[in-house]
Amino acid sequence: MDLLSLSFILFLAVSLAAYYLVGRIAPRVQWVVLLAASLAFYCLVGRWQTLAYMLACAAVTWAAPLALARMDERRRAERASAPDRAARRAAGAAWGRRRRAVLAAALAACLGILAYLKYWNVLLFEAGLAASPTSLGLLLPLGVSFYTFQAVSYLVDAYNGRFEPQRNFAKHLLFVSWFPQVIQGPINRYADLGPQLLGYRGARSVRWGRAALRFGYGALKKYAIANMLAGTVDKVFSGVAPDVPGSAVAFGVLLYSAQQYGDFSGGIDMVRAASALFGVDMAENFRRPYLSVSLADFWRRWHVTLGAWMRDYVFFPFAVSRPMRALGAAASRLGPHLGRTLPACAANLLVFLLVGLWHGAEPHYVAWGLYNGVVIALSDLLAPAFRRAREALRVGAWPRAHRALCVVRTFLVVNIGWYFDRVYDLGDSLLCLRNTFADFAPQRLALWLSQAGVRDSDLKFMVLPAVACLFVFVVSLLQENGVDVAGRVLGWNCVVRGLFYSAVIGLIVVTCFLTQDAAGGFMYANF
Amino acid sequence: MPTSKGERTAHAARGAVPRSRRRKVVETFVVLAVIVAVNALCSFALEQYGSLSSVMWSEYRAAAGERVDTVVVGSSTAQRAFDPQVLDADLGTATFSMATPAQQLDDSYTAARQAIEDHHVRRVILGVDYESLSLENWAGSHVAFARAKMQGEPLPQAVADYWGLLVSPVFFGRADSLCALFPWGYNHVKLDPGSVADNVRERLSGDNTLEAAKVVNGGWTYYGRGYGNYDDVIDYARARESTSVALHGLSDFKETCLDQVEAIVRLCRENGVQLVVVVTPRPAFNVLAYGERYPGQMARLQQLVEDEGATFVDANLLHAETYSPQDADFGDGEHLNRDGAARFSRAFATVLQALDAGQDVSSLSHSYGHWDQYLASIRQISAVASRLDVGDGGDVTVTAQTYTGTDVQVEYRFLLVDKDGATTLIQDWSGSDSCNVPRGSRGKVMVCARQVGSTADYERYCMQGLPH
Repeated sequence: MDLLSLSFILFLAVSLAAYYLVGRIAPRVQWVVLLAASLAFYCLVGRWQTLAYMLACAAVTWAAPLALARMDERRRAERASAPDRAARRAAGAAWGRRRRAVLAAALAACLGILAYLKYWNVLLFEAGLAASPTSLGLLLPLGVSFYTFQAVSYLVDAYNGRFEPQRNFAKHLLFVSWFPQVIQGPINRYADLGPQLLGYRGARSVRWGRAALRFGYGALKKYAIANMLAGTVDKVFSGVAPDVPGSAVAFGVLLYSAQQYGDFSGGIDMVRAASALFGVDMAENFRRPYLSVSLADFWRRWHVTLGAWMRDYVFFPFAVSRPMRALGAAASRLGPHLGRTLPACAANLLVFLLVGLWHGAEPHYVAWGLYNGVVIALSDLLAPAFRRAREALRVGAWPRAHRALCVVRTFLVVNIGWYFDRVYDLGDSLLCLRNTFADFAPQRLALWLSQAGVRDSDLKFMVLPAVACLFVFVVSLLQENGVDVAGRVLGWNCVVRGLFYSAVIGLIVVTCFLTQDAAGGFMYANF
Repeated sequence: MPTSKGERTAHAARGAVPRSRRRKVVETFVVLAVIVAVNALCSFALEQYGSLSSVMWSEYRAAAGERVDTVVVGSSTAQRAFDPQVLDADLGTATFSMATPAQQLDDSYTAARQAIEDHHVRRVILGVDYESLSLENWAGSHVAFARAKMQGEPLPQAVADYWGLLVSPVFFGRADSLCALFPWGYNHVKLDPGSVADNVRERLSGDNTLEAAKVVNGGWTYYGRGYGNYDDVIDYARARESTSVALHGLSDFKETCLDQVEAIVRLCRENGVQLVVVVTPRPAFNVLAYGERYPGQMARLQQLVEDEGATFVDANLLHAETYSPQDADFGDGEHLNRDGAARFSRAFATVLQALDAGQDVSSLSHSYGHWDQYLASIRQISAVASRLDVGDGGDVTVTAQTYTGTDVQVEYRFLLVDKDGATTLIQDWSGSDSCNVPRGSRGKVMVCARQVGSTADYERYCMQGLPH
């Protein structure tokens, strides 16, 4: 079921009607409609056989916090009845160890399932013990990473006492399985999402126009950009050979840049819009990432919720861990900046190694993650030198030009990273990178593309994604300058709006027709 | 009330008052009306007027009061293979061709069902080719077929038909199910001003769909009973680009397509209608290009059809005494032209006569189980293609590939043709199928092939471009 399809629209319509009708009749059980819709969606879109994994994940992350809460109560009782301070401390320490053991067991269960489903076959293949990365036939559940990460965040937050754990399993299951998020995120937090899902929502509070606009904007990105470019990108990178001209690689990577952004952010726009129709605002996942001024800034704008998850559950715990504190103390002897940043650099390397592994266990993904970690770590370490250079060059006198330069620089740095992400072999990634700098050969571009199967019509029709990219770029620039674009559009004269919507629909219709071979699914659906 | 800071700012900037609920509803209707109007305008200007599907349906409706006892369904290969008048002259039947370009198997089902309902036909001829069963359903074809069927139908029936398309398994879960509400995106003329202007002019001219189709499909002639064809003749020198494998790729038959054939077989059986599934003729090179995949996959189809009690005929495997196409019978690698269709229809009429007489028609053709016998039965060179290889040192080699029978001995000659058309012999007639092109050569290499013992200049040739 594509998000842009009659089946999804009917599914939404039925769910919305039931949701708001039940809300009127029995507001306290309104959330049950959301749970039913979510489970139905999972069975319709994913494979019902994999529902057990989600149920298991939900069960573990529901039961463990309740056990932790019970242990907390018993710890408090034991400490209260302890005869002296030493006994209180001993009781606290003993219960602390038990709590950590429960947390570790629950984390191992959740992440173990994820690791087994995502990596076991690939690892066996890399070790020569499996015929192919998919030869074991493991069914990868829809959105397994997303609901696992979300459930883990709930577990850790509950462990840290950020909220009272949910006692009702069905309500917790709704948080884990909320249907707009299971395709490809975003990774929501319980404190934000839980109350919205479980509270009463009336149809009048929903901003239908904005939701419809966001859905259409997402569809435009998905169909007019991502789907239109996917075929050409595949052709460019499916036959990488030593003589591939760097110009062809650069061309392919630029297209991939747009394709991936269109696919991922377009899909997120569509599911956020679907969620908003139920009055549930999900977390923002993209904030105009290609207007970032540094790679670190890029990762605060691209897949925002994954970055935040990594920051809260990996970066900070690791950066303030005992070994890192020791590292910081040792490094501070070489200077305060080093002492401050070295633990953060190590944590960044770990985070991006994990981000790479999250994309896949193949070496090129690991290299991609490490590339990002190394660049960010180096930019942190060399920050004083960059600051001095900026002062020497007096770039503060031209802030806009400097910002534009930083945006272009970051775009190039990000795109170099995509070489490792998109070229599915580390050796080929390095080959492509080498040829980009050592054998650009623009005069061979047309011939090579034609030999790779890129037809003239593919190139001719690229005017359509180009128009869509230009549109997205203009919208992004306006949003970056604080303009409420949706509000402006909704404020237009209704005839002008109708004509504008017709143009956008026309672009989607034509590109949909041209890309009928392309799957309607999303790149991140099986992460 | 504007709730976000952005909204409040936008309202404040314009000095606008937030809209009332009633006004919002009215505005929504206006927006929808504009979208519908633009859609209608685009459909008028861009949607192909005079498509062959619309000709078929309009002619079919025009024949409502006439006797129709046999219908042909299928894609363009079927549309251009069966001449109803030839069949009827030999068989005394009343045949109507409901085949349309790129007709999908589920649309063939729809057409057959309609004919059974309307005319209680006694025979359905389903013309298929390899791609009918190996390619994914093409949404554009479904839309064109459904839109053509809708024209002339009562509105409720038309709406029901189109709704049926949108909720069909091919569409329902895909973006096509919504985008097809804008049919001009699926069945449009070339998106250049001239073509759009011609389309609008044709609509406004008062021509009916048949007249428009003749204008739109240059060279196409309508001969009545749903049948039209072209007179063009294939250029065998371009065989390499004409193979279906080159055009569409090569994959196994899709289970969904086989299911659709099964549905047609069942439909006919349940209504007491004789079904003949015919693999339509094509030049031998375009059968040989599939290699062993052809008999392997076609045997699956044959088994399915015969297991369900219908008749299966592969026209490409018919013995020469039943049907032997001539070189000039084909319009391209997949279709017959008018003369070819007439010749094939006469031959096919004898197959149907044998069938009506209760004979076993499988004896009229080679079988997939004895593919070597079919290969040995090909007595001529169907086509020659070539490949160019450039060695590490820049040496250029041209290698010929002939499509012919296993018992045919072939010899080759290679000529260099410069841009002025002057020829230079590179390698004279020999059994070697490859030759090295002298360094510095410009132009094209003409690869000639003939049977050993022949004195012809060539029986088939192809041109191989050289790298600049």
